[in-house]
Amino acid sequence: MMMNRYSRKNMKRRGSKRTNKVIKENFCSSIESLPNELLTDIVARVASRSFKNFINVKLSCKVFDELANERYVYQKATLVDFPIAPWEKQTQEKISKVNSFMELCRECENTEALYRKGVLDYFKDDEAEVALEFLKRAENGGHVGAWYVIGIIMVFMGGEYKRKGVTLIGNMKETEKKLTRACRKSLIEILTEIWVTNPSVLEQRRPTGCNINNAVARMSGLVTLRMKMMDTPIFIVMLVVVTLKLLIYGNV
Amino acid sequence: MITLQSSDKDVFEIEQSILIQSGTIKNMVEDDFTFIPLPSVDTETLIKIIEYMKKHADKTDSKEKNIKEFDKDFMKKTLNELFALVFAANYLHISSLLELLYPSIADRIKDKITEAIRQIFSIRCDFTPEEERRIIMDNKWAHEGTEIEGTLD
Repeated sequence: MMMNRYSRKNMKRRGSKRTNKVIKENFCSSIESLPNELLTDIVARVASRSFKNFINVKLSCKVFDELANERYVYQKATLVDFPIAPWEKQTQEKISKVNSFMELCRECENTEALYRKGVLDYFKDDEAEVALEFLKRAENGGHVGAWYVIGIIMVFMGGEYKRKGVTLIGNMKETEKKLTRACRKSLIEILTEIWVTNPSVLEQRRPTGCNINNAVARMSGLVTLRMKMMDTPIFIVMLVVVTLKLLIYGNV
Repeated sequence: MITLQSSDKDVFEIEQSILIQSGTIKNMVEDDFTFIPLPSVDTETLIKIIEYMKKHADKTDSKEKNIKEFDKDFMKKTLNELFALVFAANYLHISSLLELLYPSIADRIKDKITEAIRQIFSIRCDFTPEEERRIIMDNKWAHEGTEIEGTLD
């Protein structure tokens, strides 16, 4: 990661022929008086809204190009322009570049990038420990969806973890019902975009080849998963809540 | 009452309760300062900052809609005025104002091509055509299917 602060002495006020008129009108630009830290904040805000805008700002001058490499900018960059499972076939070069970009975002603690990696690591690659590490980092950075997925993974892990997972999701629902629903919707959207091959989720052996039977198995597994996700936490939470209410209020 | 002095040597007497929204001023007040010189903030900008803090001092529920309307109007300023406010708000540690200013500035260049961004920020392109081409090529992967518009003729 480049951390050098570029000297702004090179930002000259003389206009080129094309922009002479505009430069003359605003010859004393206040943007030059802002310290790099504030300019980085501005670039980060742009990056958090639109990657295309971010590139256009990078192209505007050397200072912005340099500041665009700051860690904070990658931390805040939006990933909305990079679907998890793109519709169109991607060139190998693009796949490689997107992966490098995502890795850089993760290194800079971009919470959405960490969240996505956690979800993919568990639901696609059956790597619960690794997934939870990424999701914890996302949650530490304030990503609520990550907290929800941690709960879901714990439910699937069974045993002692299942109880903790149910409690986690139950608490979320109690305190932030709308937000919890949004987290669930977001996770389902991701899962419907990818194949789910995690045996503990599908409750069947990992497919060894890609044929019609496996595809059907995966699709039905996906439906089962979807129903499982929608029903298990809600059912158990309802059971817990009803039980608690019975205990507290003593009424049926 | 606290006295603030701008870089132009104009003085303003304001109630302490309003000024503590500024982290910088709050610290100085806690150290018993009653006269606070602000050599980094000119009069014009200081007047706007005081106006902002006065409006935001009373945050009761009934005033919330008023405050939102005020904030919207407050951002209707030239870009240079907004930059001066960013500098002052950062120096004075008024985070709520910064949180208002950054999106407003980002909005000004939303969906604008590079040349327009340069005009809006009044900056000159200091890339050679080769350097500009290189950046476009380096970032082409993010834009397959759409154009990145630089200043290439």
